[in-house]
Amino acid sequence: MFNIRYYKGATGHFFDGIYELATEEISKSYNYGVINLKRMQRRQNSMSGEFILIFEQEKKNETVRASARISINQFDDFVKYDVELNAVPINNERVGKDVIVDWYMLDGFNTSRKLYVDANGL
Amino acid sequence: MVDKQLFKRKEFKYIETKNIVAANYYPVTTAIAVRDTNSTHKNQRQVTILNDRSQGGTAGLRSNASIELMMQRRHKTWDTYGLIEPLNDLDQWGRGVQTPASYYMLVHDTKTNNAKAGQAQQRSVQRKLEQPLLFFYSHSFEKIPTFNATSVPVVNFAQAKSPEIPAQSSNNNSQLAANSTNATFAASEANWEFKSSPTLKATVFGVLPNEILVRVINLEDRFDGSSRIQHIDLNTFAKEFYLEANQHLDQNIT
Repeated sequence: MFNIRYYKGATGHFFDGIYELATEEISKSYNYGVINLKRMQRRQNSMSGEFILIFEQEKKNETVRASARISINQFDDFVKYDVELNAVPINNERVGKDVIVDWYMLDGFNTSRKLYVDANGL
Repeated sequence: MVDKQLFKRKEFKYIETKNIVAANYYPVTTAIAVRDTNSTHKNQRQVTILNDRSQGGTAGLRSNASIELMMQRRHKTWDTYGLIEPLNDLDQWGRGVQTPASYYMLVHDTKTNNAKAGQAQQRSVQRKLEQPLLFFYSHSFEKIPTFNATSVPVVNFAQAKSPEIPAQSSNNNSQLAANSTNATFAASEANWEFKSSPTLKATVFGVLPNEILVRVINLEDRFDGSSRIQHIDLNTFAKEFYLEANQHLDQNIT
């Protein structure tokens, strides 16, 4: 399940900023906007298909807006996600937002706290 | 790929911190992957996400079933390090920048005997995505029938003849060059040959309605030519290009 989420920046013991990623202590991520079902589009061709999700939410004179174009075809081995964020609204935040793209695996997928990355350092 | 474990360090003892998101973020140069270890599942699936730029990322923070990548950060305040400025990138109108990014998701089953389905296609997809721009060019500049909408000519790259395709761009300069007799086209840019030298090729890009960008390529340098140095007289080039684009005008222009 694909989603765009965000962390709220921390203040207090840690400060979120250029050099430090510090999210609020509960470390919970929130939905970045809501998918506008009326503006969602889908297209199905004989060998490819795609759909576009529009994430929108208006809150206190600020609008969250983002889009994701998810496409798949018979020739490539991957599902492609083209994600575009408009300006991240932060006026109503104490510190700011750390926006993430998030994939949540359903049906009991269990990573056992293990992950693989292709960066050798750190 | 290097394996990492949440809340654990291989090299030293992990110290508990309240900043658990940052403590479990790792640099993702091009890919991040997770494997399903649920023993009740018949398959052992691996999910790999490729990104188009290096980002921070983690997996499993949400119920051991998620992958996340940091896409954009914007703050009002300062983190007390470095210069006193918030992380707040603005565009030319003073608004927060827009952020486009692409991600590619691959899923495969590591337990299956099927060679195609059981292998990570990560490397082959990376090769495909990061392949440099390929050039096709013509050895023989013989003209072939003009492109029309009902019969698209099949280009045989073994024989490498360039089809004449009308310009896709609405830019005036590209359009003018496209309509000229010597212009050959790829996408919305005009490839144009010098009359003064058959091995020099200019690619004309429309930048603004009154501005063009010209890239000159000497095909002999790139491929099979002699080591002759080609000198370009910019005045001659400008004149040739002007005449090419404005063929109805007086040829005696200086």
